[in-house]
Amino acid sequence: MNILIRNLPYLLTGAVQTLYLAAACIVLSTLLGFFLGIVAATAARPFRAAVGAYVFLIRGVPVLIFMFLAYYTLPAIGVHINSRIAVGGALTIYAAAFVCEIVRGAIASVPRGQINAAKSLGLRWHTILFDITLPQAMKLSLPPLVSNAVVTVKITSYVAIVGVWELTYAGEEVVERTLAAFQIFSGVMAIYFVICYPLTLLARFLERRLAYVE
Amino acid sequence: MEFGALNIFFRFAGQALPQLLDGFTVTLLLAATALPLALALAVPILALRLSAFAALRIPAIAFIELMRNTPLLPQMFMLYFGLPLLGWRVSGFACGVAAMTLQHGAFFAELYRGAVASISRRQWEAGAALGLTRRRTLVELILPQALVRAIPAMSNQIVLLAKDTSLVSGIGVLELTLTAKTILERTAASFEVFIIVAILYLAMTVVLQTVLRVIEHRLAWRYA
Repeated sequence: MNILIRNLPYLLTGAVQTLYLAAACIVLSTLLGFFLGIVAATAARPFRAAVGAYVFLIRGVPVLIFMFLAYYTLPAIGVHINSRIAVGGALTIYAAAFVCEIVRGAIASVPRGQINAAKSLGLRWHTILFDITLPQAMKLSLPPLVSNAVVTVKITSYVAIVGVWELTYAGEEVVERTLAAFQIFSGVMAIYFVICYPLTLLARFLERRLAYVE
Repeated sequence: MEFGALNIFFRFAGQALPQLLDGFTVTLLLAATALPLALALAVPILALRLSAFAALRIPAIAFIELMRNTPLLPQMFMLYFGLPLLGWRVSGFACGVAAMTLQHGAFFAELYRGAVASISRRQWEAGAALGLTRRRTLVELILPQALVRAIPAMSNQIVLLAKDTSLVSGIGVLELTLTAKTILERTAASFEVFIIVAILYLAMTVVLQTVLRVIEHRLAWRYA
């Protein structure tokens, strides 16, 4: 227990990096995913097909592969950016595919009659999208989006394998120095739990409230 | 020009492919070992979770919540770096399988629970009305229907498990991802490697999904 307490400040510094990375990825992937989800649900066939191909690729290939691709390929083609940003970008593009699927599903589950009614009133497509479809889809997609945020926080730990410094990487460093694997990784897992569990509870609360409203 | 680039791709693929296929075999082995173990572990976890005794139920809930709200990688590291300190010499492969089994076992337990809970009470009442015991009602009426409902969600989870095998590269198991990484570091031919690796992973996940869809249709035909 002593070793964990002594190294806790170091782990917490790592946790701050994890929080930054997770927050950036969640915000950006939600924006990108919403855009792609709207495209997948409403746009013309070639655009839908392109988004479909992207989702298919992301869902079938581990995120680590995309991280390695960003980490090794960008410098090879002459793009020199911070490896943290490259890997974070890969993670964002990965997470956006899941947001896209949630949003697409939510838009598809808005009753068809609502859209037909809006059309028969002569509303334009953007009015229908932003005033009729999206508000209802937002409500439906909120609980799964929060659950997806938990998954995104968990996935940020994978960047440690590529060599980006955050909580899991910090834990590994401390263990290499102290050999107290059980203590340190228990601490690391406890920190992740403190970040993720409130989000899980929030998702559950939203789900229950949604079921009650319906 | 186009054909030139393709030629280079195929020549490179010819050189790297045997190595990548070896890695892919390890990936398949990892998935094929961890998947049945996780599916099986979920059953006793679920039994404890549904127990009427708080002394059994609460540890099960704690375990499930802990697994669901912490990443797989630190769990894997804990086993890999921790077990040797206890005097157990365990391979990276075994640690990876153990960590995947624990984490995904918790997820499968929750999936099973959700599926059983989604079956209407009337089905239980119908079983009782026919004079079946609760156990027979569960086994013959509830579980088959729950299974049909659980399969789409299970299919997602199974694909996630198959993809999680790539994390074992972090503890030095030379599976597909780590093989790809070593080739990348040596050759810098990242797009070529990426294309081959993506195709291999997609082949695995698509086959899994297709098989599960076939099973779902078969079961739905028989029970629903």
